Amino acid sequence: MFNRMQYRVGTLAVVALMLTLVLAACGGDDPAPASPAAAPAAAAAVPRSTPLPTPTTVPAAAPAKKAAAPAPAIEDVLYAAALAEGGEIIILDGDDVYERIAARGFTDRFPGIKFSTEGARPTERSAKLIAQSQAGRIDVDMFSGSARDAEPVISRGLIAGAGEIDWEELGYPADLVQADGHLGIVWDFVYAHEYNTDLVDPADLPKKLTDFLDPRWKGKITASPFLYPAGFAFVALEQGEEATVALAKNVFDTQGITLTNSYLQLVESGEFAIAMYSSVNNTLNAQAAGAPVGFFFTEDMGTARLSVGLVKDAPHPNSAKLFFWWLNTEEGQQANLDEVSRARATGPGVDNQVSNIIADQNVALVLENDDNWQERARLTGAVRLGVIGQ
Amino acid sequence: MADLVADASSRRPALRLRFSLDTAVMVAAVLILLYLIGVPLIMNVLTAFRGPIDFLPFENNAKFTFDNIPAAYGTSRTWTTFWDTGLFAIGAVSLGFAVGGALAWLVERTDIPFRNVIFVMAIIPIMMPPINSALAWIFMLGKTNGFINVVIRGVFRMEGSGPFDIFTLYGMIIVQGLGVSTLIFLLVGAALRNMDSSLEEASAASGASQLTTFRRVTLPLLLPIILSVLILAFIFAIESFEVPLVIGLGARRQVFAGTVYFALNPAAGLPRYGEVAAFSLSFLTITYILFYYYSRLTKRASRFATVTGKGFRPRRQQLGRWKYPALAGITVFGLFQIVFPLSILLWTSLLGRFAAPSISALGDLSLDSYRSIFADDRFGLALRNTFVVAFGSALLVSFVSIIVAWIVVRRNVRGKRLLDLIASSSVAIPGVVAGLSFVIFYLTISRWIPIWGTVWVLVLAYSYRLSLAYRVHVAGLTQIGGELEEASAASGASFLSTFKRIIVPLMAPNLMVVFLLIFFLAFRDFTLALLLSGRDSMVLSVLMWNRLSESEFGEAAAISVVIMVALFTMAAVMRGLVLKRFRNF
Repeated sequence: MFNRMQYRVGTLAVVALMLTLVLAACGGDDPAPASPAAAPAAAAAVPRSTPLPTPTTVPAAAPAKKAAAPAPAIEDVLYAAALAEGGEIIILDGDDVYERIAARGFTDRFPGIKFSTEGARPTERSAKLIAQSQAGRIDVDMFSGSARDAEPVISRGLIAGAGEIDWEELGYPADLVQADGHLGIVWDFVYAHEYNTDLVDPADLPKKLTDFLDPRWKGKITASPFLYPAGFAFVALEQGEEATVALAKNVFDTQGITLTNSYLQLVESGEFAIAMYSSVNNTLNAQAAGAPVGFFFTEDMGTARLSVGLVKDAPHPNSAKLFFWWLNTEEGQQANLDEVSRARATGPGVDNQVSNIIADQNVALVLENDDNWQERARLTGAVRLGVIGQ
Repeated sequence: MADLVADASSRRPALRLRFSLDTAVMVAAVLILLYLIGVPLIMNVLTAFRGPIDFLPFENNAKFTFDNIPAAYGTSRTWTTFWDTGLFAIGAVSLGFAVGGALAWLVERTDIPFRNVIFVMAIIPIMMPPINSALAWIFMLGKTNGFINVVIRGVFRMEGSGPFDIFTLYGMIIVQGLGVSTLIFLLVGAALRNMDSSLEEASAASGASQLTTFRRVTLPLLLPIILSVLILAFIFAIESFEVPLVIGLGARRQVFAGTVYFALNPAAGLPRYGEVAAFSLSFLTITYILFYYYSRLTKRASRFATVTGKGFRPRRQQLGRWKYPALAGITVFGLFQIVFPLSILLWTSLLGRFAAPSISALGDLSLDSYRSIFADDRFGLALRNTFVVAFGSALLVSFVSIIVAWIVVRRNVRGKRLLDLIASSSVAIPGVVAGLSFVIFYLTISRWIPIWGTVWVLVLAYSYRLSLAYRVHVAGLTQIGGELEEASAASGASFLSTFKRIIVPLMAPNLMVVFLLIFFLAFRDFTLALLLSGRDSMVLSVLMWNRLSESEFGEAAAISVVIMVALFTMAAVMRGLVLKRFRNF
């Protein structure tokens, strides 16, 4: 019996190990090769005899040698350079949204450029990039997040700034550039309260923050442990720290607000009537999926400006720049809106579903900017300490 | 820490060690263990004393500091946190042990019908991503819409909400306790499977009642594994992240996980890894103290040896008419832990959003979420990578841990107490700290060994949970007498031969349990995966995280269903293989 058993157990272990090795050997290569038809087509677009820009630099404003010959469009120059540097963009982000947005137009327009995402939760993105830099192994091209998210990497010189990236050349006017030229604003996280339309009549919704103190809402409000203090921090910018912390704590204690990371699911399912301080795009996404939810605003709703930045010493800088250029185009903006309901909320020439909602409802947004984001971050900490004690 | 190890070796003739291959295998196992656990352990301890907070612990400008200690422990909330966490963990472990222990006993030592079905039922909950379990419980016990509350209010004509509220301490305890019951079921079940029933039969023949036999024979014999299981489950509960974040914050309880969450999600700047590492020093201390007392209590290991050279065949107790209430209890367990959560998971995957099941929504059901995930190019890669990572780490951990456990339990070698301490450490290291340690370590060595970005980093990183396997094997080996190994050695067999012919077959139930646990954890984990996976090493849990963070709840649920199907298949295959071998044995 022993012999038979040891033989079988041993065989099982060997087979298992072999299976693991075989599976591993099958993996590891390029997971999502570009379409075979697309890649040659892209390569053909750049004749071999044509001198290409160096992979790491694209002239900020290539002067035309002959007055009669129009300067090549920036996207063409960047595309050629992107293909020359390998035709790849590696994104450091919390999820794969940008890959999905790219699939709505970019990859058709610029075939041969592959996307991949190195995931990291929002607060871990900076840590991961700093660790890569320390090890001398930066392997991502694009950083995504707010000025607050990016501060640790900007302050360490890990994001390309003025002189290293020309946002204007990529189509971003000055009002869409933040953090001293390090980040280009792509969309706005507009804070909004979400409610379940099966449970709440829109006429009964709170009009101002103190309306949340109405006893009818007791036990019916949930919130994200991160966004509740963050949303009130924008209020504090306008109404002062002391009064805002007191109000946030009063609402929290009086109404027994339930903090949970699953706040969206709980409002969609009807367990809670309202989620304080969610966002417009969260609700639009849920509506698109058929959830019975809506959003409403109270005073001093915050707006965090979500941006992209070029990682210094990125392996594919031109690919990243090309993608930044495309994200700012009408097509890129529409793709962002169609895929995940994200859009810019305000600014010259901004006209989309989100900005129209803001305009129609006459919402007074408190925009995060270079002058106030640090104070807003400090106030978030103050509200969090005052309300949650953490 | 003088007696961390159950010293079973002192009175036993040493198994002959051949230098060459035997020694090499053992030395290699120890070195692999030191490597797998040493990296996160050393990094964790150092991180606790590195600062200031606006620098990562190993950045050029970081330096040695004690600042993290008062930051972690110096607030007015510290004692509340300890108290609430203690209540939560003790409550959860008590409930989990009552449920998991009872299930293990019923399956392994009684004649209850449908044992294989019950086995599979008992382990299904651990396959489910914890966030799904927690949300399912909100659907059941949510005070507004929870259907149990709705039914009770309807039956008793009550107004308003409630009567139960999941967002309370007892709500947390129920969810966590039932969640940890699977771990307890697997570990206690393995021990019961290995237990010789002759002592119980002798007790019964002497006129002792079943209760007396259980109290005076069965329980003492199982002491090592019970203690190990309680300690592991307690530490698991302390470190539990998902249940406190989904339910605990709402319950306004100051558990460690909440404190760690806020340290990792500051209002600005970098995550406060130093503070989290300082917290984990408590976990380490608690772990060491608990295993120290474990060692004291199980010092005379031979007392607990229930598998000897005499051969045995576990006898099953006749339940008689008690099998009906037992089956009823198991049915309730199955409903709350499997049927309801799984239904909600399937419902969400088919509906594409999160909503309580209703007749009116039936028309909205579709397979769109599944079509979407299967159409994603990365799904196939992620599935393949996940299998490689789970298989690789489970295999590595199973065999390294059993060899090291054998050395510690059986061999009289210098430094084995320190080895035991190190081998027990990793259960106390939070995943986020371990993850950061691996990022820094593997990025650094990638200059010389190009491993960063491959699935092998994940295989090695997931193997840091080796302590869990190690403690199970220590308890298992304590349960097994050394006579068979001695007989093998006396016959001239090498260590490797004895290992293959004696140790592995006798420890097969433990090996299966360890393999499954590590396999399941690797499939479900996203803390390490998010930090370490890259474009070529994408795993399923990362894909699921992506969908969750984009509020694509239907697709996230569909990925969870795929994960559960894969794990279910693996568990059934493993159970079948081990059962087959035991019948032959």
